Amino acid sequence: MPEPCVVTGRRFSQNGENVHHTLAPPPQAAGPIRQGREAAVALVTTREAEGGRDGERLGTSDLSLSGRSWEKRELGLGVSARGERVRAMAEAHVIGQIVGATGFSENSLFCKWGVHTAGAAWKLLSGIREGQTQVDTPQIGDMAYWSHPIDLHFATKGLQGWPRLHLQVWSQDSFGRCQLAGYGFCHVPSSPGTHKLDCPTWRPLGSWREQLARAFVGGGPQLLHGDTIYSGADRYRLHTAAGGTVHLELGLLLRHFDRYGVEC
Amino acid sequence: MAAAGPSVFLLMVNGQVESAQFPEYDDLYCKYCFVYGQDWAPTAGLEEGISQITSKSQDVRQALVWNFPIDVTFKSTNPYGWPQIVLSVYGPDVFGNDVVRGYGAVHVPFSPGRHKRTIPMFVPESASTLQKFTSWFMGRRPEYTDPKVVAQGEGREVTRVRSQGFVTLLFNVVTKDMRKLGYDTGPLDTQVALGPSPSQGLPG
Repeated sequence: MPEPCVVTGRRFSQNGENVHHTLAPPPQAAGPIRQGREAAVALVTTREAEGGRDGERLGTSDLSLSGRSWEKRELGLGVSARGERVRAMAEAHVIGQIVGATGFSENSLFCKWGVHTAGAAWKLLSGIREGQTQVDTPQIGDMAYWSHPIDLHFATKGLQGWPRLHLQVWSQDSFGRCQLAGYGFCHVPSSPGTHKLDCPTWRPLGSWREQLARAFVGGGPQLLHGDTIYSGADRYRLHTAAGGTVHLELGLLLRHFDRYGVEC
Repeated sequence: MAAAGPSVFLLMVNGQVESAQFPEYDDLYCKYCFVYGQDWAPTAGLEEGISQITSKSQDVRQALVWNFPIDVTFKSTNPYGWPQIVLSVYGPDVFGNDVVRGYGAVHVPFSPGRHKRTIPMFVPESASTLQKFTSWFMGRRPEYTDPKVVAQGEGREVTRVRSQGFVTLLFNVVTKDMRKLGYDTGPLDTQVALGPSPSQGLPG
């Protein structure tokens, strides 16, 4: 029976050829697992549909609460129509806040944020993937507070493409004009629990003319493609200066990662 | 077919709204409520509350203490929509009207144990100076029609706010059956303060 050697790497079959397989499940059954993964994703996202096809596919025990029935399909577990046990997917919950920012020269700040997962292994089941915080003008001290909630529910088939949170901090003056204060990104923490993150930011410098214009008139260069914030591909072309720091408090809740042998 | 185990987990939260730091305001009271997702339901305890009115102490600390108890239990099948506590602090203005002094929200911690959280409080602000003067004069400050908006991320792009205080909360969290359902909440993190401590934000 082939054993997965490295979770993120190759899985070697018995005759030695590489079978590229990320996050290999314990080698027990191949057919129901695939069915189970799709079932778990499909069922978790359609939990509003009561009964029907999904109901007869799974176990019949349910727990009703104020008129809604919560069935085992919420957990991606159950029994398929053929009677085989379907396997649950690994899930991750990112629950926390973008707390605020310090160290910026401007006062009224807001932050545009987004979460990016590279590849097809991660799927966002619930939650908003991007957003923009309110504009805060601090009265006490110099930290701008946003307290912007983040609540994301991912299902994953592989470790590649671990979610990254990218941020753009902007300042807004009393006339309502916005100016870029910094770009930054940080990975979602990879160990379960609550983490306090400090994300440093940078902003592109232009030529000396553009820097002079930014000091007097405002504005300044911005990135054309937002993915440079979290990818390192074309960074060598940039000349940047440091901005302030964005403070986040993110909690990570993992599910079924230990079944796949992932240690974190 | 045998039952596969629990399908619902419980979250019990107790604790208190401990105290506040508002350097410019006095005689404050707070209201709290919980905001949670569709998969959550409270099973015991109180979801909302209004505290007493507190004044600053006469000593050098200038402390605003509520010591207001929180005790609620939720059940859920899905951690998405994890409960948040939303606080609204109110106080009198110069003319004696009751105006809002701050809104704040934080997620209930999900690791079992004791947690201390200090959250910033902010008020919505008008964009124009004339409107600020008018609202000061008439005693009708901008406030949210439903404080639960503070716990949501959508629709905040167009709001301007001013952060002007902090509230300290204490939570004791107990969960049931989360591990049986396969959830890993990580190591217990007791006595973690959220964000920089208020002394960093206050002058002097």
